[in-house]
Amino acid sequence: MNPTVIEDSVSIPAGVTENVITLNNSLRKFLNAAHDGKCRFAAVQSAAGLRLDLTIGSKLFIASSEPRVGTDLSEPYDVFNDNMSARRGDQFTLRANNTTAGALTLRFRLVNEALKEDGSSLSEQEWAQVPPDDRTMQRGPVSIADGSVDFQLLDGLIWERPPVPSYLQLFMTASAAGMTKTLDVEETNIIPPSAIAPNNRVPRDPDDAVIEGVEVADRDLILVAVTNRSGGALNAFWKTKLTELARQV
Amino acid sequence: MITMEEIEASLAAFTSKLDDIDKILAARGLGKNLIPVFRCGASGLYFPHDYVKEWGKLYGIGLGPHPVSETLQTEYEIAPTVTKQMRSVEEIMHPLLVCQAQVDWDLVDKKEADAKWAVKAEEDPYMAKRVPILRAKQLANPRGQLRIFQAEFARERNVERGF
Repeated sequence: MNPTVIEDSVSIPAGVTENVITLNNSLRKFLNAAHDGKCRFAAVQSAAGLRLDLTIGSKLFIASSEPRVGTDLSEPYDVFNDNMSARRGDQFTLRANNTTAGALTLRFRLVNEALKEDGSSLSEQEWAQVPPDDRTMQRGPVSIADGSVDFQLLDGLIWERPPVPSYLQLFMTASAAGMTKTLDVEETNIIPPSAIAPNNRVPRDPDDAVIEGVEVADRDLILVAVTNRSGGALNAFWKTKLTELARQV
Repeated sequence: MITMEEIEASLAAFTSKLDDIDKILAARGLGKNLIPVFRCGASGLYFPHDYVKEWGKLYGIGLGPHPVSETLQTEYEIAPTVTKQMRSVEEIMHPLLVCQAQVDWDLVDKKEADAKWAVKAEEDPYMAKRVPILRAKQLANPRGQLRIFQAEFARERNVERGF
């Protein structure tokens, strides 16, 4: 069974576009999953300003995330999430919010790989055996004023507290040298104050990984904080990937 | 065979004249008011002399570790998008992109530089200053399709209103 590939370079006007896939009439027939499968999504934007949400069926997999600025979409670096399950008929909803005053280009690729060779649907028992999904958020640039201490990057965002028990993987970069980061889960310190790589880009997976395999119970608070004592404002870029401990049926 | 002493003597004779050359140039007003800039290889616009030094702090946020130009250009290859949510014809435009062209150090006349400074992305995060400039260029450029899309937009809205 061949994978389904939805790929496009499309102009996103200022404001909210409820489903980017429907902007291209030729892609409308791919709006719903053709088979039970595992999906991955990659994207880049032509200039900073886009914020994306991806929902498959009724499940949100990518929330309020900002792509890297570039015109060269490359895997695996620009993949937001490569572990999202879809059932036959689930609708792909790629919502884009263009926060600028002008139109920007979004280059994206959404791939649905069939779980069964013949493309047939899985039984409920088989579905329960499918590896658990990931939820991802990635943001940046986030401006951090000089003198900021423990600026909370996840403050108020949807997966600041994961909805189900999950493994956390964190990626981070900074626009220039001079900031430190910490990671805490509830009152437990996981990463003590340490430098952030000054790669000046939205984190690449796996190049900019900081830590993985951090167990987070459902509703536990994840605190990713940065401190800037560089003498000037800097920008932080981050990505969190939450892998469910067990499949949510 | 030229000896080392002879080379040194020639060099000394030449460098001793540099001050005289500077005086001649200054007397004619040449070289005055020149300021160092970085020039964008795509647009020809100028960035301040600290563009590379302050990369990632004042300039080029999110554009990677290596300095490139942060000026905006138009992607004429990608057609404008028209959606039902659009309320004004002003919202229709070709998408913009950060050109990421090479930047080169240069010495230019201050008057010329003042006329061609690039708008800093850090000072215009939502592109409010840059979009009107680029939209005007899109309307003037024969490669642009804005006029066609604008006419179509007006026709569709008139049909909706029953005109």
